[in-house]
Amino acid sequence: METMPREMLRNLQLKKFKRILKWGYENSGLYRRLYDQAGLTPEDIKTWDDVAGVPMLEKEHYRSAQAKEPWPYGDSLCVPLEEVTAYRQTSGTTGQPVYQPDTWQDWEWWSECWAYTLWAQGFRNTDRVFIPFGYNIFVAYWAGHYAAEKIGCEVIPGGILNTEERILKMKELRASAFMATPTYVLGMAETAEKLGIDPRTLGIKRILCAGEPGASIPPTKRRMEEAWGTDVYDHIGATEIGGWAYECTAKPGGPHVNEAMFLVELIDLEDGSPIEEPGKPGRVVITAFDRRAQPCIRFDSKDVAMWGEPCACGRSFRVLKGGVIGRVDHITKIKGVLFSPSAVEEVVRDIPELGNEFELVVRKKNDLDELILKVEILPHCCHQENKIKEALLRNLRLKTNLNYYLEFHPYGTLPRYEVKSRRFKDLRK
Amino acid sequence: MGTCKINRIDLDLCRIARAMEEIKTGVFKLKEFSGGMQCVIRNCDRIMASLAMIQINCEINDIDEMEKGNY
Ligand SMILES: [Zn+2]
Repeated sequence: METMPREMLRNLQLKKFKRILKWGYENSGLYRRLYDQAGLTPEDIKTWDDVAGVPMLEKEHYRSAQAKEPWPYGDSLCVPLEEVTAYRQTSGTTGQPVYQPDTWQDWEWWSECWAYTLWAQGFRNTDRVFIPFGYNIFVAYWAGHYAAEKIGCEVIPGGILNTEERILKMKELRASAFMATPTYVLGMAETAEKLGIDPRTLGIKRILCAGEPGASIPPTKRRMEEAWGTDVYDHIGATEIGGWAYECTAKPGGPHVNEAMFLVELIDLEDGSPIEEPGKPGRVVITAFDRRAQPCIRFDSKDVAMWGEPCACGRSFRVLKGGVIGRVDHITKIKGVLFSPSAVEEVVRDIPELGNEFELVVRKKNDLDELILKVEILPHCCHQENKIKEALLRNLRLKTNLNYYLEFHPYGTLPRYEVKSRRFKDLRK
Repeated sequence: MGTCKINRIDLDLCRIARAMEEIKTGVFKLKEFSGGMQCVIRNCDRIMASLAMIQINCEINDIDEMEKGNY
């Protein structure tokens, strides 16, 4: 089904879109208000042009609906409260968290979507999958866990262990795969080496990355693959949406959108017109076709991505070149130049003398934007500071068209993150 | 499109749809005969959720007919 012809796929998507919009309109006060205000009924949706005219949903819509009854989901909820079997929430980085209800069927759907990911990345029932993550109220890796079980893997929950204990447990049990954020994949390799263990000897055959875009940024991917001596694949998902994109073993330079389960639209950052051609960055707007307790219909993810070329694996699902390349709110202009922090990551991680960590701060100085980049030089490369500085400034300028103040910090002193790294700080607001 | 071949798998949508209908009928019977016994009902609900996933995956091939249950 992942190889069905594009035209058939588009027809399927249109039908599924109509179906979920009708579901939302008939069962949720949130969607009813949103569409009534726009003078829209489900019967109005006939063509793709009609789809493009459906009002977009933002986090704020969920928040205001959730201020109503029944607690805590308000009238964004489409099923009786008794049918809800799982609670999750967003991290709240951008304000009050969004509460996410799922029925058991929704949860089956979550793991179904992740099963597409795992299967495409070569996970099979012969894998022993370690999950080095502190399971909690966030959805991260829960669905990965259930999906791995669903396709028959043996799953080891590495929940509350610390990094050393996780590595030793992976070694002891001979895990063949694990899933983590790119930051943590690199951090685990550092920790293993401190324990005197070469990560490449652990026999890991595949690593799934989620939570951050690193696995689609070539130098970051290369660092992870070299550290662990294995293949690393990207996956994209979000609490309100689901797991909506995954890289395949052909590694086309970004993940496939799961177009059987999601409608992903890219729209122009300035004028909002649809983008179909490869190579042009756009705002990612997503519909989950089969999520029912709290539907996600034309949700503005605030992510930025661009279409890539078709993949050699034969899947007809489109590829996002470089995965999520930024956030709409991070791609504010700096000194009038369109800027994405992932470009900086690409430059930093392409210089082998630098450590994995970095931090980028933008602040106002005399009404001018000023960029400060903090990096770590590897201990044995300290004598090359000037050479590294030169290369860094040159490559940053080439890639982003901007100048930076550089700060060199001793190796190991910048913050390390397990999830949701905050390497980009905009202090202008 | 009743039968199609994907990656050398013989997928017979007609028979899948029919088998799913039979299971659904069976699940309703189970619930009916359970006299409200919780362990029967909740496991029946799980079967229905799993069936819904099969439905989603199969209708990818022909949503109209799967929705109508026409296979
Ligand atoms: Zn592919």
